[in-house]
Amino acid sequence: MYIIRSKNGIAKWMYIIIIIILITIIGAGLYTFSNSSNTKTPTTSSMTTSSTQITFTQSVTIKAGGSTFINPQMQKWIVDFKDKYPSISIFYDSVGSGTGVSRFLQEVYDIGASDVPLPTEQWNQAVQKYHAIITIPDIVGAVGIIYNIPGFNPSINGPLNMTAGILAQIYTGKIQYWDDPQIVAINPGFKFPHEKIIAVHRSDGSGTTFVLTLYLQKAAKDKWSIGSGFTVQWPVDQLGNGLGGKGSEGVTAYVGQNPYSIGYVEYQYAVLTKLQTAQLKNHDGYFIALTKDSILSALKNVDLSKMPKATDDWSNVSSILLDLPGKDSYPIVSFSYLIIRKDYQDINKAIAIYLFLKHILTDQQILEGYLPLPSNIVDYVMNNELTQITANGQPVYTLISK
Amino acid sequence: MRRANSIRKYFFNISYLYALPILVIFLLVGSIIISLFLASIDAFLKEGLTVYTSNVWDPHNNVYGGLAAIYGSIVVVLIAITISIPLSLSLAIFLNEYAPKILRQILINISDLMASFPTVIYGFWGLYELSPLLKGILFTWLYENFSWIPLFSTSPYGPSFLLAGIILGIMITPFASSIIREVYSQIPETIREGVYALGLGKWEIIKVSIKYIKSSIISGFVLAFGRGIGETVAVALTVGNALNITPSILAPGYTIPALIVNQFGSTYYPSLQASALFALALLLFLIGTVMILIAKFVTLRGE
Repeated sequence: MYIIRSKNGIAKWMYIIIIIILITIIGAGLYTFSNSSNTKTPTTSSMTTSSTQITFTQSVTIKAGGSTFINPQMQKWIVDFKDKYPSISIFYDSVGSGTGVSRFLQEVYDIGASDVPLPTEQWNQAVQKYHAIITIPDIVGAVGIIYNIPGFNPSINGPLNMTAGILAQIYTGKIQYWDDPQIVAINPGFKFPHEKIIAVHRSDGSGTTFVLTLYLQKAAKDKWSIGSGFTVQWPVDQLGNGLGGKGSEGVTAYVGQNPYSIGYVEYQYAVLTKLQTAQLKNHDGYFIALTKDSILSALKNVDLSKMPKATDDWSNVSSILLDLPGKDSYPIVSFSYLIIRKDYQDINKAIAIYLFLKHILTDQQILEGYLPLPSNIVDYVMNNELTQITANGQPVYTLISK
Repeated sequence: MRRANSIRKYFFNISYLYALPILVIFLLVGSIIISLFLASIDAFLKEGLTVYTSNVWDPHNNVYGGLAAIYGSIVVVLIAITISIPLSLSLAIFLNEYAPKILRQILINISDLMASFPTVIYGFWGLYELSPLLKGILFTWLYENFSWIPLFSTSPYGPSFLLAGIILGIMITPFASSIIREVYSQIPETIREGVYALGLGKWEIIKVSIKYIKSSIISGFVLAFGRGIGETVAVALTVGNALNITPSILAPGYTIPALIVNQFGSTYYPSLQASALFALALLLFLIGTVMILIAKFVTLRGE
């Protein structure tokens, strides 16, 4: 009663006002903090070149992120790179390709990593923001078809043969049983039972789905009208024969637990978990197993003249890599990509990124299951793409070889 | 006297500082709702309410409607609550009425441990262990004997509404049960004595006690519901992730959190797809709010 009096009344309001001011300050602080991009402090770099290795002593922090597929290999590259250049710190967030690209566009990451090249819409956004960006392939991927057919033994019945057309029809629900004449015709060594095919696919948005659907779109045009993307609307789900597994481990578990099912995983996962994969009919009509050699021999047949220039829109490049000609070529092959700005104002950052990319392309320390780019692609990237990186308009490679 | 007065004065004034955390919480909740709404405006403008009423998720043609996920969320959480009610009630009663002291302590610790497990562990356990086990025994049995009921009318795969519901039911049981257990142990001794005085036995004591703490039981399940409907990873690993609306709980389905966790990593932001995901998150929030309001209403009426 006696507390709320004139003097104390003022004190009461004072406290309320102080609290409101405090909250405003905190809020404003958080707001500006979340909006402030990293302040750039251009410093002159001190570099000395020895005969083979460049000494780079400026301390630089590079933030990268995106694809979860590339993460184990990326961490390996980062550790090895740190040994060479202790002053450069690189952090990689394994957040997913889409998020990686979005954060690259928001200036959170200096390097975005994506299992697919930027779609035209995002590429336009990036060009608008950074004037020019460079898309750089960093590693090779492939997609394998896995299956679970009780009684089917590859060493007796011969490996399971598949074609793009049959896969397209399975995932659209046109082929619903294993004893379909089209499947029987290319697998004469096994008597298929009249069992429903359970079609397992990825439920999370994934570069694997992107590559598989793009392959079906390219190699089985007339049977695949669903389009391609990280996620598609699987017609087989609405028939009740589709299952969505989260991640490659989810797909593998669902295929393993459900007899008469079929699914797809990336090459790396199939190798590490020693899964039985099907043979796919390639462009020249041969049934080819998923092996390191069949993937690399496909890439030998890439028409480099069709490859886009460094700063071009790369959105169509995945389709160039699929269903490649050649007797021994495995048909579903892809790259994973790094996306960088063409020009960095911070000269040290530009040099650090250049050195890191060079390390990625030339380093031989590749983890089991991953495939390094073949030499023809590495040469293409080194000569036509890395040379394009600039620091304030100055090509970075000229700064280094000085 | 004067001195005491001034101390009291300052204490009273200082106590206004306690308003600070309250205000921060209000601001946080408010800003979450506002940012959810702002992020989903794009979807409402382009898709209208079809983002809730159609069943299509097609990034290729840029059309989104999460009806299957909304349906699945409700089905899965209902199964989970149905499973969790007998489990958590009987656990609470057993701990308070029957368990010897040592066993009681052990069981309480185990139950608390269950509540603190990372949910991804439940998910992988469900995916690799429970799914093949239940498919081989329970699901197949249900299908073979009861497939004339629409609830069990599809041949079992393993991952399904039912599997996700069972996993979720196990996960939320420690939460519901710990609240019921604690309230149960606070029941005044006079009630127990009264029941004994009437010459009634243990069964009647339990019945009277349950009635006595009815509203706490309901709020225990509301908390469990809130935790259940937002569960992402464990459900995403076990629900089958097929955009599928069917009365059969043996069929694979989808839930809103599973859809969000599956899609967000590969979604470009800002985009219509991200906006549609935010719209679904907003709906999840609304469902939770409505559930809490209903529970409050029921509790108030009960008293």
